[in-house]
Amino acid sequence: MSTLKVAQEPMYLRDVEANPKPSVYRDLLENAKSSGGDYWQIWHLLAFDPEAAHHLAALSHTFMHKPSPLSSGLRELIAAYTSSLNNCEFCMKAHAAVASQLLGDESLVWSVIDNLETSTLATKEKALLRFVQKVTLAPA
Amino acid sequence: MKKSQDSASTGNDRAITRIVTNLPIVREDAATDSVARSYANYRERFGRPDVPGILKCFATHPPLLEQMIALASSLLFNEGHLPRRVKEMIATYVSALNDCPYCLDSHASFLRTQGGSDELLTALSNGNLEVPSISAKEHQLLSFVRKVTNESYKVTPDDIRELNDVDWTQLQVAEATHITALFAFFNRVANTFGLPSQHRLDLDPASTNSKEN
Repeated sequence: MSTLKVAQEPMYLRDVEANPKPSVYRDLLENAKSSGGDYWQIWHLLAFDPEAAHHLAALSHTFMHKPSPLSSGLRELIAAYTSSLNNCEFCMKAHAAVASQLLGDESLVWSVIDNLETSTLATKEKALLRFVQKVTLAPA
Repeated sequence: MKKSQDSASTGNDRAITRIVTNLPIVREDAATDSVARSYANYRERFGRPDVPGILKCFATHPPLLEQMIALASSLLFNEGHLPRRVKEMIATYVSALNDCPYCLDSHASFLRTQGGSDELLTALSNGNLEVPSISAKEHQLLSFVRKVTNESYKVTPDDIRELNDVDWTQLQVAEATHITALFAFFNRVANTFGLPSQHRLDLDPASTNSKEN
């Protein structure tokens, strides 16, 4: 899996970016910057409020990685698909990459994002993602 | 607006355990082990006789329950960069935009305890920001909240600048965004599980949202 290669444009909320609080996220940012590496700018948001970030990180770990009736690959596919419905390129690409890795089928993942109905996804999973779409979209 | 499934105007969460939800929730009398402990901790910590229905939805995945309580406590139920009153204005308004009767009723009630007037509660519940009890500064923030709810991908640096111009700090804008997103989550969980309004307040809002900002 390739690492994220995005131009690191400044965030809209400059004060958030400029004021990391002492936390593991600030350490991650400083290490990445000092080694010249790329990093996920969402770390800035986590470093902004480490206490809330701690709960959020635990929450997303539980959702995405702990044992569940849904496979990790399907959970990542839901994340990528929801992010595409919400027009969030950052989250879509991140979770599409992980879903591709876990499902071992990158073209399947992108066919779902491109068009769920014509994708080669199995009938059962397709039904679940149709439900996900209904949960995601705003009231008409 | 989704259909309401209860007919009785009972004012407490116990009613939730008797209504038929779309998905099973963990009733208080059926909770065991870590869920029972979390429920007990919640009742003690928040001084409430009943556990809210939304937590019973999260309890279907037990590790989630404690984390949601912790997240809500550190982000919503405290004075942060934004005062509690503004947080509940956001919670009420977003729940109206997302057509979530359960969260709308619950957070309009919290807003009332924060000093919210009838005029304010009714306006926000109907997605209306054009009332005297919403200041120009609050109007600007809530308009932004609406954009984050309906079309976050269209947010630009100009939106942030306009908020800074009326003295919302960037940290306040960040917190408003987190709370708006938290209610995107809560609203979808409550609606999908099928929690009806508890009718703590006598609000009967019309369907309010529109993509036109």
